[in-house]
Amino acid sequence: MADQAVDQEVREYELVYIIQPEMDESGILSLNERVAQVIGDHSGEVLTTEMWGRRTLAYPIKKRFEGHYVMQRFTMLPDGTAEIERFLRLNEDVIRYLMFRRSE
Amino acid sequence: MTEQINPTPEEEGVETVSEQDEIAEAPAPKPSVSLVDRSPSRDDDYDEDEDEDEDEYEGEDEDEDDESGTRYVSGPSDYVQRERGGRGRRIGSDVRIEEIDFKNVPLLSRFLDRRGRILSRRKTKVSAKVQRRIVTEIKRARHLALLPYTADQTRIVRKRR
Repeated sequence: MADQAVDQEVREYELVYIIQPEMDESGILSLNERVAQVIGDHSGEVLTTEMWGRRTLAYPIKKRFEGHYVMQRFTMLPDGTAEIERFLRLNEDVIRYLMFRRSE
Repeated sequence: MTEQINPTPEEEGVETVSEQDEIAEAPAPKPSVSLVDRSPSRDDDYDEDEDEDEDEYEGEDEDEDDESGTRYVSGPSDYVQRERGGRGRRIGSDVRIEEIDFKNVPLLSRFLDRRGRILSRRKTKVSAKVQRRIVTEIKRARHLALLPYTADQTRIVRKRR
């Protein structure tokens, strides 16, 4: 893992995803777990995880008016982003996500 | 108007200027009063929509100056004064760049008009750097449904709940 980091530096990312409102607590946690696993696979580390809870959406997404918000900050090698995006895009419980690089 | 005035003062060429000035000053209050009356009755929210129109209005004034004397002279100057000393300056003056974040919804919503549109820099009076930051963070917040893209969306959500 350390060898990989020589040509590719670990970067800091911020990720927010919205899970459909019918999801229960344990479902959200297991989803978090899987995201954290992908991060770990790319020599990353979760810094903070914030659960904003069930919030009303400013506009309906996939005919839902509410959603569970989860925010995570983590470090990871840049090639891991594709896998996380793929996972979130294909997971039907995730109705919206946003991942971007935190460079501050 | 100019055509009507000109025939009389042609005899005394010097007074043409002063007389035209007096005439120009006399009708001027009418449009200026109507402008002043309009401004306080409007909400802050309304201004955003009408601001572009006001700019066009300013342009039209200049054209009309040539035709009907200096009738609207005080119109644009009033408008400029109001713009400098009035609202706009306080919208973003106390914003620090670190606190501009898509999670800071109350802050970002100050930079939206009544319809949910992002205010122009002319309106917000913040630096280009800060404005750029605000715009990207508002767009992130919109993507995550923290802010609406249009005001209609908010109405839809309220109705359904």
